[in-house]
Amino acid sequence: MRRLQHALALVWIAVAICLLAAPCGQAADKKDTLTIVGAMKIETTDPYFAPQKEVVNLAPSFSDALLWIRPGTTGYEPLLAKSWRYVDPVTLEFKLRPGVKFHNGEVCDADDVVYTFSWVIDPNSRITRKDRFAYFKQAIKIDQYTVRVVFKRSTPLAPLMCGSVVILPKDYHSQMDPKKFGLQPVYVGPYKVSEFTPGGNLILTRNETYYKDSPKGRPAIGKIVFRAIPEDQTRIAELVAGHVDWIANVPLEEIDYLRKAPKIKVASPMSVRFAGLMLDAAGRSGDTPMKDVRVRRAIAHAINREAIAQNLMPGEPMPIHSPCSALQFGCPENKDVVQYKYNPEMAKKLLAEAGYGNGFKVDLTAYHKELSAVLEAIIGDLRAVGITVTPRWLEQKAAYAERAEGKMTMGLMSWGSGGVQDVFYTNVYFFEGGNDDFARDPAVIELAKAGGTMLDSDKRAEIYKKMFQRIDDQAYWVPIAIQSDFNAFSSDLDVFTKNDGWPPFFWAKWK
Amino acid sequence: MLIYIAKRFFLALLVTLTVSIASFFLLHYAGDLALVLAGEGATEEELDTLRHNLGLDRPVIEQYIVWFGNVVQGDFGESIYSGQNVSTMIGRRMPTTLKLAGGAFIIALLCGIPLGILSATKPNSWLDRSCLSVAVFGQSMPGFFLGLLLILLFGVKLKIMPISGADSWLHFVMPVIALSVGHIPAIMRLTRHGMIESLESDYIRTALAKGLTSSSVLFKHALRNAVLPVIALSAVTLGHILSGSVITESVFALDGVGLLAYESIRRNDFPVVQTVVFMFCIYFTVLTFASDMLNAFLDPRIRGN
Repeated sequence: MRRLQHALALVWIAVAICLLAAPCGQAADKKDTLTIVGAMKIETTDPYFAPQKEVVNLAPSFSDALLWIRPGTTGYEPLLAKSWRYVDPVTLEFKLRPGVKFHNGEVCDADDVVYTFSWVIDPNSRITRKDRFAYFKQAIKIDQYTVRVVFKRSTPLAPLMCGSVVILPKDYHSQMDPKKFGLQPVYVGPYKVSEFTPGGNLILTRNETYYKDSPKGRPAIGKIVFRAIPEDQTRIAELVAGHVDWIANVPLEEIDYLRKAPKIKVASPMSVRFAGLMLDAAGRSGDTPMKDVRVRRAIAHAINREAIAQNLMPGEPMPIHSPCSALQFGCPENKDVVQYKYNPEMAKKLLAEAGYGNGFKVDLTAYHKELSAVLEAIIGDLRAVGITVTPRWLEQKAAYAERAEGKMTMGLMSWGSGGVQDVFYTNVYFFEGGNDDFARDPAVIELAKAGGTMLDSDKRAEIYKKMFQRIDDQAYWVPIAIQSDFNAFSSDLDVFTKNDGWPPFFWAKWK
Repeated sequence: MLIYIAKRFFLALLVTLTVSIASFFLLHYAGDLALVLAGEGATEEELDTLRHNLGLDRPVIEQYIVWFGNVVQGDFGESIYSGQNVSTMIGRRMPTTLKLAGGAFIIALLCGIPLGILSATKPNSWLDRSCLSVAVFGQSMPGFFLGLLLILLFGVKLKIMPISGADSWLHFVMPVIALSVGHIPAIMRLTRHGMIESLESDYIRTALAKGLTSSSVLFKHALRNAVLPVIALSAVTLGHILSGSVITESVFALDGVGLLAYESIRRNDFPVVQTVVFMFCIYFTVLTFASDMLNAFLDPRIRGN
């Protein structure tokens, strides 16, 4: 027995010696490597098959489209195209930059552009989020460096849509299974994918043959390493320990800690994402109190949006009165729409007028866990006026399915418009009579569709203003506040933070 | 013995088949896969086309038969999310999970059995109480929280251990500890109980009276009988460690099968989820079968019955 005890003691001593003697992770060479961390693993680098945020945000670092929106601005600029113009309301013509090469050395010209557009339009390509390319009709080659893109209908977002089509190398892409392309991708971009393991690390290295007159410029940092760490606390621990340089998705409750941590900065980029309650005014989920406009207005008066924005959604604590962000074209100013001030007495009065003086019960569907505190606040506010809310937490996909099937009576939404700085996509989903439209108001549908085809910006803004005035008057939504995402990074890193989403890492540099 | 083996094998097959049927049906009735794939804004026509392309418009029982037929040939389909072959995805991640689970299993045995023996040799002493306190700690401490504490202490404060990833053997030290601690108590208690019973038996007294050394009595005679239930528990423990590694893999960002299962469930990636469930079922079945065989080999009474 004594021998056993001695043996155990020796084992523990040996373990301790190994632990103390062994080297542990060292921070990467900061001079030429940037290690960034997201929450979700990347299974493919192909943005056509991976709509996840990590790929969407990283893609501009290793792939180019014809146009782009310079970070921090709202206008479209030429990128792979050196110029563009409207030929007619449904046709855009692009003049490409000559001599631009893909990562594998192939020259990028009109054949590649036509190939790419034809492929995204093709129903057999089975790319995800095909709805984003539904407006394209065809692409036509005019000469080696001139292409025309024809749309099915006139849309003011035509340049934006063209900017979302990352150009593929025809010779390389056409010869392989498109789903395998994301494992060994080739694009035009300031970085190229030099190493990628699905579910593992993604390594980008600077593209030394990137065209010199690109507005993105030559990156200052030679290598970017992307890692995925799903657990929030582990991500933060890696940043504080100095093993990584930039992390995404900082939880709200950790912001104060990180702001006080040495050599760490926290950034809250501007955002188009907002949170709000969607109410089933059309009665798709059944004959519920939501069909009565007085009930919907009562709910709007019952919720203390100012307090929720100030206390539960730090960063840009401003309540909103329309279901859109001020960063988006078409979103009216608060002064131009009805503002439902916090007034529980008015809420009770409206409920009594509607015949619900004793209140009622309702289910509220939610799926964004970061809104859990907001949900609790809403439940409390509504209980105070007699409305008993039963929360139903679903996974995102399940909530989307329920919404599309019209089974949602009240839903707490977090909507980012795909990062688009225009209310167009919000309208397409929620106000044009589609599966996710719970208002189904003919007047709103007409205005949404009219705004979606008007090319004149001023007239378009006026149409949208009328549309949102109707939406807010009828309280189809109860918008709450803007939702900011927080990032944290080493204070030695100089990175642009004034855009929606992740920073443009091709502009990052060490101080 | 052959009849015993045949019976256990047949039962194992039956369990595997039942679990595969139940999980397949539950997954398919959990939601509309076509709607998930097509995304927001899809029209009914697009959904119908997708359902037809994926075979989702066929009866579920027919889909199951097709799926099972493919599985028997080693084809587990493709991930809906990434388009990759499911076998490849799981195969790439399996080594990480096996290293983590194997390490945790070994540590659990290396700590649990000796502690159980120590505890049994001096029941109700300070040594016994200390070991039982370790057991209580292990049973009550959530693995998730222990993992974060280890990260905070050794990774952030002391900076002597890597925090996440699987680049070296050192990356597995904290995860293995976090995963094994919860399983040590059961092994320890069962070993202790078995040893106390054995040590109080007549044949042990006889052995001691015959002049055998205490270590010989302990390890050659008492332990051999005490360890039988521990073997059965170990098989189940390994199964639990393998299937329960998801939390540890998530905390330490280890790209293993457990984390893949969790992410696939969130993404409604049916083929991957189905395959992982089936695979874990196979694990449990094989381990239980192996445990039964080992027990039968060690204890003739079992195979005689």
